[in-house]
Amino acid sequence: MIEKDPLTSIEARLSSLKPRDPRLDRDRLMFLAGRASVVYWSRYSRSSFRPVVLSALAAAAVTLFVVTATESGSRIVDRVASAVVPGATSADTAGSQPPAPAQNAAGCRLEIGNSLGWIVPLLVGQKPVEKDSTKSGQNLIQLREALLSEDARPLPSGPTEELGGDSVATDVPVAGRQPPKRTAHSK
Amino acid sequence: MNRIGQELLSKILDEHGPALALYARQWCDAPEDVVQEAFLSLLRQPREVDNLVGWLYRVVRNGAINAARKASRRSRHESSAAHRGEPWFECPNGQRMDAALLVEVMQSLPIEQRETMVARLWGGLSWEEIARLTDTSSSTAHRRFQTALSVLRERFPET
Repeated sequence: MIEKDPLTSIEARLSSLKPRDPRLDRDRLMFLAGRASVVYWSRYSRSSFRPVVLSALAAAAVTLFVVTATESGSRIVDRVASAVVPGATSADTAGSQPPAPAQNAAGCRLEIGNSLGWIVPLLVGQKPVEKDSTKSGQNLIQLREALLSEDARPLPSGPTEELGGDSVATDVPVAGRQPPKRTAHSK
Repeated sequence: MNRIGQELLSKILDEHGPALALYARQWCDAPEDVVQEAFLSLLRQPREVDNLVGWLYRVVRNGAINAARKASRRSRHESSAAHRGEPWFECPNGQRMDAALLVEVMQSLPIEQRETMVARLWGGLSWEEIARLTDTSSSTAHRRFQTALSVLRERFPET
């Protein structure tokens, strides 16, 4: 109600007088206003975009790490050695055994090394595949004994081609004897 | 930082700068410094200010009261001499007498009535804004204004 009171004559007369313009440092205020605006956007962009960028980079790093570990665990094989052992049982040749070339023959295969493959089973909570040096050493000895005691025949070139991945032949030198025939496939 | 751009700042300076300086002048003898500092404070605000004009009047009021306290520690004579020396209004030829008389009458009024009159007549604030500014009720602010106006009516005869 009192807001809508019209100006009385004395009010109109007084309000017609204009207050003196203050001597403000207008240029400085304008400069500071412009600078404050820049600082505002700088702070805004820093405060809002930095966490997003960091989160994205962290997610990308984790993804790359998992992908790399998975790939290396499933594909990269440093060395593969294969041989046919006629008297060996199937228990000795478990795992990724290639198909036997003959009925009475069983192959021995070693996969040695695997740079990051041990991480994946740990991440998914599985028991890691046994790749310890003791077991590998036993298999290597067993393979060596079999090769030395039997008349090893070369494997046909077919089965190990299916394995894929990078492989390097394992050469087991035996002092004083002629090394048996072995096949190794490299990619 | 707030979003006060240069255009908005320029507009506020043009529209409210003189009235803010007149408002600050009711307490202190260096109103330009107080108003300048109020605008600087506005530019430093981290968030957007609600009721920008009311906020500016509040900051100017606090700054002017603080400046007056500092001035009172200095020589009282020196302060009051400076206080009287500055013209309050622009004085075109036809209004020179009115301006001089108005300043004289306003200086005789209590500070509560003076600040209410300046905020209302030249600041254009609403009664609610004046009440918030002066920590009173709207009716009290209105009553102070009417009291000051009655004094002015006696000194400013109708023409």
